[in-house]
Amino acid sequence: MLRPIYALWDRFSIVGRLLLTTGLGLLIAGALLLQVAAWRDATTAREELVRQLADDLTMLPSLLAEPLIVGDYATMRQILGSYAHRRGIASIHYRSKAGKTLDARNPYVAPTAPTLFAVWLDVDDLKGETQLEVGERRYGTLEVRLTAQPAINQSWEGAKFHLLIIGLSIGLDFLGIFLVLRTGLSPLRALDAGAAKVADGDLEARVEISGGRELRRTIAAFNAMADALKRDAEQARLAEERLQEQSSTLRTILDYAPMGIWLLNPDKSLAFVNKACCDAAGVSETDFLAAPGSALAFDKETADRYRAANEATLLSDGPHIVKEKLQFANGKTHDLEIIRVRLLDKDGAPNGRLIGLAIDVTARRAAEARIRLLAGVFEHAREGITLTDLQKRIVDVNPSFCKITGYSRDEIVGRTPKMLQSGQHDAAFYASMWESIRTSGHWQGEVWNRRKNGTIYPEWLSITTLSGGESGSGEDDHYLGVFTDITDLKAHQDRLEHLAHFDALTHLPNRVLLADRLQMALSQARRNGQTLAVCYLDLDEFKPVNDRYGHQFGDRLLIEVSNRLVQSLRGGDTVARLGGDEFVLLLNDVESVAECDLALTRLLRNIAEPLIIDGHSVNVSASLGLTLFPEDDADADTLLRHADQSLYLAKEAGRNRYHMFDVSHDHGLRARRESLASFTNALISGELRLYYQPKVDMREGQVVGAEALIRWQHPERGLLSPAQFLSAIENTPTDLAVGEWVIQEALRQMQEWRAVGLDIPVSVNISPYHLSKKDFVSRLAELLAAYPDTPHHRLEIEVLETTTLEDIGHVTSLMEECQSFGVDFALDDFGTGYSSLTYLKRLPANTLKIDQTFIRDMLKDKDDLAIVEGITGLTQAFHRTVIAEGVETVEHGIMLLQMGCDQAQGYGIARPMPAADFPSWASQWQPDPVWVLAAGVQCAAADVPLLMGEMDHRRWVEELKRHLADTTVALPSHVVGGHCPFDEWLNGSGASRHGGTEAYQRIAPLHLQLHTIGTQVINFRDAGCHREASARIPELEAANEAMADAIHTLLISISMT
Amino acid sequence: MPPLLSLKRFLRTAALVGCGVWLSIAGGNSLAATTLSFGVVPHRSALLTARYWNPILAYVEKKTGIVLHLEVSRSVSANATAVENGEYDLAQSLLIFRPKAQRQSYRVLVRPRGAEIRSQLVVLESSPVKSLTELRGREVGFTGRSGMIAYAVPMDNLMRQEISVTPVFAGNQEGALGQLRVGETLAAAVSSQVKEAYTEREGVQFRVLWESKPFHDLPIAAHPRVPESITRQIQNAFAGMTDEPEGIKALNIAANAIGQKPPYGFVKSTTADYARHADFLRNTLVKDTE
Repeated sequence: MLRPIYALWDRFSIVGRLLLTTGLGLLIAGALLLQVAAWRDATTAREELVRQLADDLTMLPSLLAEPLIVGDYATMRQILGSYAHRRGIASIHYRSKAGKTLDARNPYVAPTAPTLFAVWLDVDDLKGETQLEVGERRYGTLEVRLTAQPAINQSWEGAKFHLLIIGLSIGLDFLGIFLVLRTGLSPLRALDAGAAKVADGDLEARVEISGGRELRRTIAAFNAMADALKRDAEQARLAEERLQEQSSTLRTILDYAPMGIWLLNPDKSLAFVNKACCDAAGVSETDFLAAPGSALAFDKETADRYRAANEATLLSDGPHIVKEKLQFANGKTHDLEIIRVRLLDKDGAPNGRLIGLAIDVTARRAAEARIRLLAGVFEHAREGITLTDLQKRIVDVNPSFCKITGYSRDEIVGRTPKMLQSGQHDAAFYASMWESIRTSGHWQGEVWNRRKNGTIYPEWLSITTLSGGESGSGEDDHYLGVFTDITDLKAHQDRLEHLAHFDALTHLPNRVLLADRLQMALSQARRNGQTLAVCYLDLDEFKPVNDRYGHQFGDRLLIEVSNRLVQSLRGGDTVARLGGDEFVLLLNDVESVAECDLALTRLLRNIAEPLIIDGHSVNVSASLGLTLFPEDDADADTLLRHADQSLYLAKEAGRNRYHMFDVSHDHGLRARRESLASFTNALISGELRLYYQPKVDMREGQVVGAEALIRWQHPERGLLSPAQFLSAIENTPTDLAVGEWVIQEALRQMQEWRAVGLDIPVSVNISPYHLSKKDFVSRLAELLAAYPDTPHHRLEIEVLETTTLEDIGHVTSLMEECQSFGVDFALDDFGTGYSSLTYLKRLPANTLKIDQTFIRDMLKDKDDLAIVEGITGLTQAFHRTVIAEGVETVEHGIMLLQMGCDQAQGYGIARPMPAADFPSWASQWQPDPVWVLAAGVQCAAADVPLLMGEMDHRRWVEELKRHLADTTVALPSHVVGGHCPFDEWLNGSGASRHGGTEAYQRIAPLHLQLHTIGTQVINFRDAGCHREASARIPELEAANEAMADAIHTLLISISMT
Repeated sequence: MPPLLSLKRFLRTAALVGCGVWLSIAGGNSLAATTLSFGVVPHRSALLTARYWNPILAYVEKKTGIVLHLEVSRSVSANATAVENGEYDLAQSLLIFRPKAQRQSYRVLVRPRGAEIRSQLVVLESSPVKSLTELRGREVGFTGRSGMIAYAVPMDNLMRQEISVTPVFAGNQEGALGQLRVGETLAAAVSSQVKEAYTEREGVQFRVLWESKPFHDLPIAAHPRVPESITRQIQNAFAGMTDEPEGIKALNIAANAIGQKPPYGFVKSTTADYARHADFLRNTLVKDTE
């Protein structure tokens, strides 16, 4: 019965048998483990259900007791519903004693395990009940049912996991067996392959040591055997290579030896010839060895001589040497020195062989001839020649050297050329020279040396490094110096130099050298921060002297003046003659203008000293112009030009003096020219604008006109005011063009405003220069004609008061002519021109504009106040209109109103504005309420503070309120403990003028009360009592109103009186 | 809803009375089937209340054959409302003497045996508070606005001394003591009986700042709709508990449940015994009772 099984077993491989037995073992073990685990799960589940039922029947009554007693069934239902969701609970049922029931069920738990598994597990559902009693009173019965389904599901999940583990174990077992067997057999296969490779001659073949212990030993022995085989083969190869290398080396030596070499056998045949022999014969080595006779092409005599020489060599102990001339294959005849030596055997006996060496001495003999020639050159050259070694020790010199320097050859050989140095050159000169020689191998230049007799002479020296001499290495080993005595040449050169740079008459530097000196002086001054004076000097009245005494006399005079100039200056300064009687002086490092003044005054005085030439005494003086660098930071030519300009001014000023160039004046002129050009360009480019400043009647509250003011909308600097550009165009044609543009633009603007309903006079400012033009009136008429819709009387021309005073006759007639066609005039800046009443009476200007300087200061300066009052009185007397310029504050307006000046303009009313903004501003403008008040009362100037008092305190209260609301707003200046300006009036002129009135007596206590409350408010604020501080504000406002009322009463009273 | 409630109650009472009359006519001893509601003031949790009363009521039921169904309200105020509306056939409460409830004319049957109770204002023994004036403006715990001993009496005293406090309501007296214990209030108003039971059970000591004149403890009273024959049986059963072993056993069980100290049991009483209560409730300054 077991036979088929055995038969099947025999058919299995080792691997198969192992897999089958281990697989069965693991399967049986896994099944047993699964059975045990499932049995344990079932037991645990049953115990868990019993325990849970006991817990539920204990816990639920406790949870239900409270609502049960109270009869709160809703709560009971909630508790049961929540409890029923616990794991394992199938349902809960409550039945009261009275039969009332409550039910709660758990959602159905779906079975995940197969039915068969559930049956096999044998875990059943469970139920139990308990009585609900409190205080021995039974309320009802509670039944709890538990389901085993969750436990069965959980057990099924565990069983599945077990099965997975068993499957995985069997798989891993199979894999392990397979890998172990596979790795165990692989070393044997590798050993077999290694042996086959060695057999095929691959001595590098080795086998990796692995597998069991026996296998590892066997593989190690195999590898050791292969290593031994490889070592033997390597040694044999190296011995052969060494032999070949030695043979090759010897052959190379023989081939490239600079001589012919051959070896003769005992039978006189050639055993060897080297490459030199073959090259000389012009045949290959093979041909040479095969037929030496034809290769050498010896004639019979030569061949016999050679044979004899060979025989003689074989018989002699030493070398056999002969000299021969032979023609080589290249056709040239070479001088040869042939050495033959017989060869000996190992016992020292001649073996019949000889070796021959043929040395070519052709080149050596040619060189010896050349050296003899060069020695002749060395001996007879006119230039001095010095040959030194690398340590600069003189090796040889030629006879010319000895002739030039005065030293004999014996005196100089072994020394260095240093002994010739004159001391004229510094160490840097020689360092540079030797550096050049080191880097380029050559140097040449002029050197000043000293002869033996001590005289110094110039020589033109050329030094070259020599190489390939003694050392034969090709490296530098000598220096060759060749020089020529250039004493005569230098003298000639100096003469030419002097003629090129110096004036032939005075020997002073000429214009060429001056330019050079000036450049150097400028560089030095710039580098050292020094001042350089450039002076241009010219003799006064030289020409009459020349004419009177002749040119020779004039030349003598110039030489004498030159001497005086040189003597008057310091050694480092320069005096140059430009020609004629013109000189230029360069004074370096001028400490101060005073020092310069002293030097130049002395110089002029020296020149002016009488001169006696040929018995004639003459007096000449000089004028001088100078400029100082770097104050005048210009180039050389410009400095000379500036000095020349100053010379002209010195001459103009009366001669025999000097004049210094004014740098700032020059800059100013230049800047003005540039500014004028720029502004003219702006006019053409349309960059000019007119801004309009309103003129108002403060009493009537009306806008009564506008003043056109020019602005320049500069593309880079922004909007520029007239002060920044008008001065540049004064008294220039541009001045006229701008004036006409202003008139035309103002007329155009008036026309535009009239079109939108704004009909007001516009005044324009006209410059004195423009006004002085004869065609001013006709040009004005033409401009007006271009705008026929604009009434002429709407244009007003403002003229400076000072302008009218310069030529009152012309201005008066011009005004009258213009007035004849409607244009009126205003005198601008009135009060600054010292007009007399007579002038004022004559001038037909209708309006006077009080200068803003008086208006601005009139509240502080009594004199200014008096002037304003006076001008206002004058205008009333002469029936002219008056307008105040520079009204900046409300107080200015009040004061003017009290003085009868109702019209005003200024920043306090409006700043100049673009034309487009004007109509809107004019329609909205309202006079300050205080002006309305001031216009309604008439009081003396001394009572103006009363008017201001009300306004001041209203503002004061508002500021205080703002400060309370926002502490970043500044506290009113005199709020606490400060001095109120109103007190001055109250205690001063107010008390003396109105102290007896009832209204005045009301004001003082109210004023005190107002400030007392204000102080309290701030004290509250400082103490952090903001609510209390704010609470006092109504009281403060009431006090202020009461004081305002009292001020009004007093003002009315003053007006009536 | 009060009219409707009253109607329902009337019908229920009428049915009860009718049933009683019919049973009397039938001559049978069938009163054992009669069920009466027994409302108690929830001074404690419902569970403790049930553990106390159920053994006593079971004894009475066994003795008389009348089923007494324990009615425990969620709060004192709910109990007060039920008393005012006459919802309980039998009530254990002082609130029956309030003017609002007097129209129901509950009649006192028995009262607890032992000393009278006092209203007390207490603080924790460790508290630094030594006098009532120190409670001015502070939190004081009360059971609710409907408790007489635990609210009306102490609050009346505070008002008469012009000591204004911030009342914090805890639902029942032990709740007020619990709040005092955890520091949510500075003092608590309780009855001396509840406080002593609490100290006995929880071991917490209190300092009494003030206490009232003695009052009889809560009476058990019957609504007029309950026939007198029945009320008499019930009165006898309660009063005779201490005379019978089963009664004493029931009282012991009840006392153990809440830690009550002897003497246990009840004595017969009448409405006249509670004249002081009625007088107080008529004249008190506390007008916000519920």
